[in-house]
Amino acid sequence: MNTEALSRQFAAELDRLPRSAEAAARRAAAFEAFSAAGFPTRRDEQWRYTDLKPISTAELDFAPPPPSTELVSRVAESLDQAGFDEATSRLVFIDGCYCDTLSRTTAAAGISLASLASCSEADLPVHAHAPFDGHPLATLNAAFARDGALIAAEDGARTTAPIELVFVAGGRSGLAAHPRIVIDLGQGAEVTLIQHLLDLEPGRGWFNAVTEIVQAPGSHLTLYRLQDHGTRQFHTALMRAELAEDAKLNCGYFDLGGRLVRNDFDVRLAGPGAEADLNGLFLASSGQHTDNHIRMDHIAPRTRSAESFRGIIGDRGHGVFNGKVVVHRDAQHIDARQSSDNLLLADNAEIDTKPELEIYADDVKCSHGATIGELDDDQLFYLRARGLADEEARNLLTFAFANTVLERVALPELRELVAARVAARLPNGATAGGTR
Amino acid sequence: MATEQKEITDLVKRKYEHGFVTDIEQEFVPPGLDEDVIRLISQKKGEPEFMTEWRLKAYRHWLTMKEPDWAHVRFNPIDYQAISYYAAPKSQEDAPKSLDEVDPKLLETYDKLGIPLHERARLAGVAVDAVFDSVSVATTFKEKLAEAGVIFCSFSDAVKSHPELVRKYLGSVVPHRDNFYAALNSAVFSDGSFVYVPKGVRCPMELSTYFRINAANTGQFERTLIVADEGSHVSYLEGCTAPMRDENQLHAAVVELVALEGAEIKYSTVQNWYPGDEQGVGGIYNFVTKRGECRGANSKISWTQVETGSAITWKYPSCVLRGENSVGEFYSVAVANNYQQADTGTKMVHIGANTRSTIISKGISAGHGQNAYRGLVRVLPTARGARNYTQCDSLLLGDKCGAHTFPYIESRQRSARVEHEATTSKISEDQLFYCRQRGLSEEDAVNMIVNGFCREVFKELPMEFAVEAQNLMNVTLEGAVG
Amino acid sequence: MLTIENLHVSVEEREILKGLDLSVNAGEVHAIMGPNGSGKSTLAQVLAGKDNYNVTQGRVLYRGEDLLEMEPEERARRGVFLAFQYPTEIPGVNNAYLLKAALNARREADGEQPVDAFEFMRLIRSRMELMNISKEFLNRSVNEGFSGGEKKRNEILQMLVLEPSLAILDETDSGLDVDALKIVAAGVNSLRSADRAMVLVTHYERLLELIVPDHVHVLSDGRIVKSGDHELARELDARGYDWVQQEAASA
Repeated sequence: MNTEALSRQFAAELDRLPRSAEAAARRAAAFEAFSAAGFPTRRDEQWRYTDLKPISTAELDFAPPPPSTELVSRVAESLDQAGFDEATSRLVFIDGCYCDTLSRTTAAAGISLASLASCSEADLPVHAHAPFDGHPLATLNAAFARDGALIAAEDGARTTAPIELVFVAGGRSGLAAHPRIVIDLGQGAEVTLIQHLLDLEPGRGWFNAVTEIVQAPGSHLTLYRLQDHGTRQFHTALMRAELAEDAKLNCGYFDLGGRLVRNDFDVRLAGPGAEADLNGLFLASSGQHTDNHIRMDHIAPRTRSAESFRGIIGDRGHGVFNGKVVVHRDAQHIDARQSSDNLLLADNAEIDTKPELEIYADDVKCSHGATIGELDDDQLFYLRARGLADEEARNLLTFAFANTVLERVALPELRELVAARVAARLPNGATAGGTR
Repeated sequence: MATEQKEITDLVKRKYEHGFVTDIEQEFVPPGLDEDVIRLISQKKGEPEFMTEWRLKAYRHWLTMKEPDWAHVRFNPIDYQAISYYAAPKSQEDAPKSLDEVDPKLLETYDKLGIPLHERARLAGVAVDAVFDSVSVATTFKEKLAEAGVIFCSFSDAVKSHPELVRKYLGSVVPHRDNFYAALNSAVFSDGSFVYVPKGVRCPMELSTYFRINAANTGQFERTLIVADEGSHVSYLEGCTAPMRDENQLHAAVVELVALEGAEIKYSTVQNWYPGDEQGVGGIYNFVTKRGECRGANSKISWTQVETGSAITWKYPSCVLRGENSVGEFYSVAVANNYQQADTGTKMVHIGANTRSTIISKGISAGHGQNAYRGLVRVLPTARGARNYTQCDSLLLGDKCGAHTFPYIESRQRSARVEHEATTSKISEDQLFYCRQRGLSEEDAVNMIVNGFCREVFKELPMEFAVEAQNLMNVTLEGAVG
Repeated sequence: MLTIENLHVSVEEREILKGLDLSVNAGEVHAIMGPNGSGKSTLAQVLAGKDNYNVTQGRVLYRGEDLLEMEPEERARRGVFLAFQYPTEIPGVNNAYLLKAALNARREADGEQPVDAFEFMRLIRSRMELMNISKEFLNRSVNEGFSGGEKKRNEILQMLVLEPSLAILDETDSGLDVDALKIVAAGVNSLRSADRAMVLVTHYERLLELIVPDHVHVLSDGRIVKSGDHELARELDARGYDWVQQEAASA
């Protein structure tokens, strides 16, 4: 997509969006910022291992039309079949467009759930308009975002059951959706969210999301994301969180699908005692490319972070991990850990990992570790000596490798779901499903 | 706490011991750089045509390049036209034929540096090539080495007496277009050491070069080339010092190592260039390209470096592991105290099957120092069964310094196994207290703990230099305790 | 030798020692017993000069001088030795090196010549035998990868070599089996003499069967609530600490 085509689309979109002059100006500024630099290339250190050409050269429609009634009912049917529960508080989006009939916005007391487009501008938290310096794709999202989810919790409010955000690609190829998720937790609020990304049927499109999180003191957010797109979708996402005193953030990202996936995490531990745990598991094979890119800023003293990402990389798969922990001057008593463990299962698989530490305070305990390798020969032999077939043993060990991440999922049903999906993706999937 | 913090900072203050200037007549080429200057350097050195052409090619390429900006260091732009690219002690004009003809003042300089040029050299059993500013002034033990067939001489000599070897290997590991500083070095390098160890020969002694920058406003651009032929073995050590000056001086060296089948090269560096004063004024910019290629099967290249000096250090001694079963090692201690900045590490490129590499890096930051480990481990699809183990530890002494770790790990071979571990922490208060409870002063306790932290690296140094390195550490960190 | 008067110590605003009095003369062995959290280890750490402990009231005299004014190393050089409850690991620094450096620091302070390597080996050999420590141990890093028992024996070895005037043993018996306990006790007993004092901080009476104390004190809630002789320790072993605490509360 050349700049001119993009500019035309932007001009058309700007006319269509019923927003105030300020909002329009913000969009225009964001678009200008993006256009000035264009799509990042591999010459940019942040994109050293991820080539965006498949996206930047694709012809995409940045203004996906709303789904037809027929598409909505097919999505409803497929969600039912997949075991989604209608009674759950949930927001459903089809190709980025909010789908009222499939959503249920009632939630626990003190928790509001709404589509962003339905909110009056005055209701939106200020950070919903934040600029995204250093994140060109998020800037593009700021220019084109139409809709998304708002989850706001009042002081002390708690979810009783996880809230679900379901993003479905409807199978119409060539669409580029730019959803925005805004999460705003009041003091001591506790919220659990599950984000599902799936394809109704295989299609090629681009999903370019931004999630903004602001956590007041003492709030807890648990955020899971199961990305189970078809293997032709492009998926890029920025998750940005700012944590006040004693706030806790716990994320589990499971990337099973997608052709080209890039997740950016930008977490700021701004208040003393804030803690963030980021866990990730990805599978990349058959030409899939998955890149997890993290920046963890320890701004306040007594903050803790732990990142643990595991990749299983198969035939023609390419995994990337880039984690940067920055401990700011005078942020003392810091505990930061980071690990990137990767299994290479095929001859033409590739992994590039870059765990980084940048430390400007001295009373710190920081560490990172990275491992790359294939399955352990001794373990394989041990299992085979106990009578398992080679392939069975491999699947078992591969699943075990993934399972250390899955074990951190606190919701049993979700854990089972992800485990089953992971097992299904293993070369001899069916047999490994029952190894939990 | 606050008072202790201060005491600790007091401990890190230190003096640079090698900051004297030697007053001897020197011959300069006027500052500035163009093709004429390069021709002049080449002519002064009586080089054959191919060398002149090689330099000019490098210069023309250098003109098209930009200084790298990716390192975690900051400095004011360097005016390359203000540097004098050639400085030689005047007596060099009629080249001394033996040590006895070397300017006594020069020998005195090396005495002050503790470098054994005369009898002391024989006692220590170390063959020394000494490079003063741009020119090699003396090489000891030539004869004994010649008996073994080992060629150890200044680069200028090598160009004249062994042009075929120079022509074959020069630039074969670090091509003239490799990077900005390497290109500049290729154009203007003045001297350095050359070593060739023939097939099957175990070099009978440690080889050693001492580099010394003396003249003001000069850069030092030495070039070292070591070729270890099949089945040979050589251990080489370089040491570096410079006088104290308020302005920054550029040192842009290139070192190339070639290990053929079954050969082993051990290269150790104790780098103690002038680091600048406590306010960060002056000091050497140490922008160095060092790379070794394990060209043959079963060869081994091992780098050990103790980097305590320089205002800025930018160097990544690397190994290209081309031969099957070849081994690369990198052991490093880097210290950044006061306003020093270090961005150092290594690259291990695994090409051959069953190649193995080990990286042990110990970074120590004190004062306002910034210390970064930057490393690359790359496993190509051809490197079946390759192994890498990396351990990077950083120690912080004080709350105004920084410790950074930037490892790049790339693998495209399933059977390869790569492990990387890194830790950053401050010196443990429990350890300090334990030592002090046993009666050690805080300073001694810190020295002991820091030396313990570095032990894995120090034990890789040749014995006589391990002690030197340890003492150097203590001097460097005097008053730096945090 | 050691006089502690009305010592109050707090850690991070919390008062741990609340007016402790204790007097130890040369030649004596004192045992400080008490339940967990009574302040035993705090006392040991404060005497050795660990920071993060705030002395808010009281004083400590060591041979008539203000101990609390001295830096940790100064205390050590004047003969105050703490056998740590949890000996610190120091990677890369070998045992022999630390021990020799510590010994020479002490000797230098006493105006004696430093020992050379030969003398040092001669000096420690018999002591290593006594502590059942093998020669390889000297080249290992300080406490790194040691078992609990090895660490404790190493502490006593250091004590034997440094020959302190005042030895404070902080739970040296914890985590030791019977055999190791005997070795440790033999080491400690070999050092008993008329010009030396020892303070044993312990939880259990079993150590005191092997190192028989002259005085036994019960520390509870930051104060010494009862003192006696070895019989008191036996009684505590049989009856626990509750009765002493109740007695103290009703007093």
